Amino acid sequence: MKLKTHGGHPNRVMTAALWLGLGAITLSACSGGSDAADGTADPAAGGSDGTCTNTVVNPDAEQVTVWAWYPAFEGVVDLFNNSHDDIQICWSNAGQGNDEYTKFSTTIEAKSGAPDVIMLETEVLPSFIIRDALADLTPYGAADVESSYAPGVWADHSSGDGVYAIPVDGGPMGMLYRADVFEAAGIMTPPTTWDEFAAAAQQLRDSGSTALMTDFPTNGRAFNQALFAQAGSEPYVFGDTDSTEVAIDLNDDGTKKVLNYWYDLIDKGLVGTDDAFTTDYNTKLVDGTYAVYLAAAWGPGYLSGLAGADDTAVWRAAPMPQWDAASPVQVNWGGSAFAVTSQAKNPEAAATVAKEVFGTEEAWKIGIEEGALYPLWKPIAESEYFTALEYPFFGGQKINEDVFLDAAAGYEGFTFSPFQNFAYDQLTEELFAAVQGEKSPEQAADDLQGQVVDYATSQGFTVK
Amino acid sequence: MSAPTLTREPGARRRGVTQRRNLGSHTFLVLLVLYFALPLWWLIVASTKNINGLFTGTGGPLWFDSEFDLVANVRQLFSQNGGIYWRWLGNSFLYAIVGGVGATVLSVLAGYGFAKYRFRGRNLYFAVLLGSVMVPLTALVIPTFVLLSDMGLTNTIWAVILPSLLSPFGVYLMRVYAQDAVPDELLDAARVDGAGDFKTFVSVALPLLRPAIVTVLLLSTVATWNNYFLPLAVLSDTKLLPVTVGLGQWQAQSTSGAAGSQLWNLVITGALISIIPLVVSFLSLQKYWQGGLSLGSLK
Repeated sequence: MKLKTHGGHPNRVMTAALWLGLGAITLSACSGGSDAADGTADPAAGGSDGTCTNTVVNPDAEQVTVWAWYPAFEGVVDLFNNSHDDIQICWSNAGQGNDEYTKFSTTIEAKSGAPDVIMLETEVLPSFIIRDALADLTPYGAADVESSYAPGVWADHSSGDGVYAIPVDGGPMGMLYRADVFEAAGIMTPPTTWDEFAAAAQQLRDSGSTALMTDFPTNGRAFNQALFAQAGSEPYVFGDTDSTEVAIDLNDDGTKKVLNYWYDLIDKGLVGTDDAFTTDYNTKLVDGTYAVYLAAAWGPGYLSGLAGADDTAVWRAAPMPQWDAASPVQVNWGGSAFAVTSQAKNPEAAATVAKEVFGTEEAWKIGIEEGALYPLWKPIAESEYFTALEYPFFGGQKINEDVFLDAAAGYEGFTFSPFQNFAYDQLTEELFAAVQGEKSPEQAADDLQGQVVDYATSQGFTVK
Repeated sequence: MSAPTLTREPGARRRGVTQRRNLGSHTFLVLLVLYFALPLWWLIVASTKNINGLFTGTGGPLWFDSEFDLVANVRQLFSQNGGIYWRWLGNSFLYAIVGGVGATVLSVLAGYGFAKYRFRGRNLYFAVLLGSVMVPLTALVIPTFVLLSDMGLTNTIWAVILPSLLSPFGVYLMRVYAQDAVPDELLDAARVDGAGDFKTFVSVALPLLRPAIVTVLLLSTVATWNNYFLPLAVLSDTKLLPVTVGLGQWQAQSTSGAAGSQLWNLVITGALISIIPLVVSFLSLQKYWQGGLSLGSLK
């Protein structure tokens, strides 16, 4: 009996395996077919190099491999390739954020496999600079394009005398708010200072509205850091002279002031504490639970992507509230840049790609309209086209002119640490502990300071 | 209380206790079923919603929205990035089947050899093998990457397939099973009858090993299908990705993307479709799967 059962297995298993195999063949055949039928949707079918996502127009030219995750990048690459005879981009999307950094780190360890040009968030640049993973662009004419960027922005991409990346997009911050929710609560003008912001939060609650003023995510990372920076926090001094020395000041008065402010609002139940970028957070952003979305300039794109077109919500944009209305401080949340890796086969060609790929108005129109990127390239940011751009999602408001251009112009730069990921992870942990009532905001900031200093020391840095 | 009741009492009480016990365990099991099925239910419901429905829908997370967009979502899977999702799914099939079958072949050969042949250092090699069962594949990714990179194989399908061919656990399972399922007397008899080593292996040992072979095949196929970190590290060409990493990329794009690049609905519908092959193979091969699970505890 037992043998008989066993005897029954192989046929059925073989059948199943065959079936699965057939499925695989059919599926790959399907996708192959659609590739061939629709050459424009998947241009790789016509490209000379099988690993490029894009078409290489001029196969004899020097090829530069690029890792970038902008979905709207396809048109930008085509523009570059069509306008360059000597250099061609071979683009692949190697994942976004940490996925790409993991992969990049592996190639650094292996000393091979890195692309020539890589898209990185500005905040991780120091982490890769100290691993000698990025090439200094000064010998390759970085200075030629310096005047196209604001000084604060340029400083974010430099370290010591070197320039390690060409800026692309930024995240000057503003306040997006639900005008309809505010109006129902009798708040006729958006708050311009944090005191007014807190008063508006209270007024919203007193009016009987179920909406919360906004969210203070404990996993906000660069968002939280930006709020501290607005109150004068400059947590790191690094990279100017000796790259083994770093100064750390994560528990300064500005940080503590901001933390106390938010924990007071949380205590009173006026502000939510949902983690950012979760489904709950997305839902509350669009269903009116939060009256305010403190956002970077890429936020409007994110928001309108969630909300679609069917909503009755009335969204408007206003400048970030200030601690001191007389001397406003502008801050930045996120942004990305193109760096040349130290494994680049031809650093000069790679530097040309980094400098020029987002160096035309045509490229930027794709980036702005399809990618909702905020341009750091001044010729487009200051152009009539960009300043006068009306956003239907905001009822036709010219949000660049009203909010983000001023925010970008006032941004003076920020120094990140070479262990920024660790610092952010600890920040999230400490903020969460404080929200849970396990410790006071001051204690959380002090503990954070201690942990990051310990970590930096253990990594071989001299902490000043 | 009447006599008949009295005489029946012991039986009745026992039945009562049994029933109560049944009720308790049934409730517990029903709760477990709910616990395990709820995410699946959420996935099914969510895959019928468009992006607006996912976040602002009237049905809430566990019920259908007023609009039913499953078909539209599937259609969008065909059009998004030139239908690359189906390419990912095809890649997953390729990696899982080639990796799974290859790992099984190697495991059977190695396991049989360990079980039935005496050679110098056998115990040492087997101890090394057992040790490597303890090392998670994830921890080996960077050395694997360096090896592959030296051979110029990164960013090719071999970068995923070659490491997937090694299954120390499969070898271990095959050895344990072969030791008892293939009696030495039978092999001796085959040799007496004039069969060579290869003939003995194919016509005597293999049929006896079938249940274990099926188990190893399923285990290694599923492991390759679910693998995330290895393909993430060794592949950078979007067209070579398996569905796990591809969907991960779409999700990352959605968390920071602008209007046109948020693909929440595709991530969810894609996830639903990608589990169908596994569900089908689990259900249709359930019998062998269960038999296989008890293998380790056989002796």
